[in-house]
Amino acid sequence: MVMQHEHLSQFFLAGDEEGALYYTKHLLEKHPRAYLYEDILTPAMYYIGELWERNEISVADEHLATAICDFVLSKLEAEISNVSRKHQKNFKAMLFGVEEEQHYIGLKMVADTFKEHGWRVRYLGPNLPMEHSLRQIEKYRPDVIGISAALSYRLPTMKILLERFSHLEWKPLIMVGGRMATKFDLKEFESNQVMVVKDLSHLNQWFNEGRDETINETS
Amino acid sequence: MKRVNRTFPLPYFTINKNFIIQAYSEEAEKTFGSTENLLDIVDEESLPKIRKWVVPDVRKLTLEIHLKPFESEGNPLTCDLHVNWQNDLYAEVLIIMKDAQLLKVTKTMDQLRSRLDDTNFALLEEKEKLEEAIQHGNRLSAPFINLTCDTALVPLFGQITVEKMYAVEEELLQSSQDDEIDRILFDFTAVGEMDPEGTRVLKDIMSSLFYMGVSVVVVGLQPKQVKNFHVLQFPSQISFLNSLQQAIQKYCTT
Repeated sequence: MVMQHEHLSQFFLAGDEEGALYYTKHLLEKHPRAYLYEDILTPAMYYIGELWERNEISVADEHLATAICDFVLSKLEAEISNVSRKHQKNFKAMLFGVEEEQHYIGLKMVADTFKEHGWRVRYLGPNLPMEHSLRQIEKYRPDVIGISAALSYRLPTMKILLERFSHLEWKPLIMVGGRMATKFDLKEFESNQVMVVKDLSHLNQWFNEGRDETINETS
Repeated sequence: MKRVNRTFPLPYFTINKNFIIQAYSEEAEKTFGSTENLLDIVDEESLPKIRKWVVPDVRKLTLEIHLKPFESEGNPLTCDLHVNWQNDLYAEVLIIMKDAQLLKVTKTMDQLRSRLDDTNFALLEEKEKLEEAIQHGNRLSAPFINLTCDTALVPLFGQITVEKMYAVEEELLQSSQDDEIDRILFDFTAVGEMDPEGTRVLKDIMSSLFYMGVSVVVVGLQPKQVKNFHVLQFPSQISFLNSLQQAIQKYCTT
């Protein structure tokens, strides 16, 4: 039996956006959104990375698959039933990928997860120049700043960002995520203001358990 | 290690099984400097791939891998690795960087994507502004006007929606308790459509007021709105009057 994530990745690789969308919607009828993100979309993208490692596909194929996945995510996001004002919380999150970073699919799912929990979200996309991120943060004053990076070359930039953000007067919670957080031990970054988020289920766990305390602690 | 005599206009290496470089071309030196081990120039993410595929068992092979970024670049470079094992010990390796076209397409796609993100972002900001304006409008759609010391008038405006009713609820309940109000006149003259859900919330508000000891009078109801009221079974204690004029005459002249 072909696994669901492998099946989905075939749509991505074939550039079949209609098929991919249809299939994800079909899955959403039976599963919650968090399951789709954690257990199907993410494994599908990892599987595509594996295929490249097996020398079966090229980087160009990967780019195409990313674009299709991006499209599907945008579509799904637009269809989240709008959380009405009465239920919308006043927490704000700002999310972006560090300068030069090109990986952003995970971050986009994170943005969606925050929205689903009734947060206001500013998703600034990957490759955000440092000065720009600081300006936006001063203006928006988010409760949570989410920074994502995949490759180890981003570590120095990440360090500078964390250093800068830790001086913000309203003391937002800073989340560090992306593949970097899964692959490397980022314990040294962690403090009561900085949290390393390993994956989406880790984030959901935070939503379910620790959010209130963490917010109270830091704001 | 020696420079090969043949001049290849491309980066070319001879390596052994442990990826130690035995010989290299002039181009290879120009591009990558002098390195001892081929793996030193390879991006770490590509190491498992190269270790798996560049083995004497696979005699001849083309492999796509990433190299470590050059100084000025922030991202790994994609290239094709052409490998040919002369025997079980040594392999010839030719590195051909990816066509600039691919880079160009990738860059353009990134630009398009960030354009879309920006547009999305601008739209989001406008949407939030609009929502705030609507919310503001909603709050102003049920002003609380004291007519006499015990009677107040609440003229409702526009469509009766859930959002609007929630927006005015608190203010309304609060005001009714602040003063010595015994009676509230809800004026429907300026009301258009009535959403079933919105009407239900309105009914709840009226019930709350009633339980809080305020009598509720509905005035200016139009014939087509009457049936909405009927369907929802409003509390029977609500009284109805045709027009505001009648209501004022009845309650405000002593």
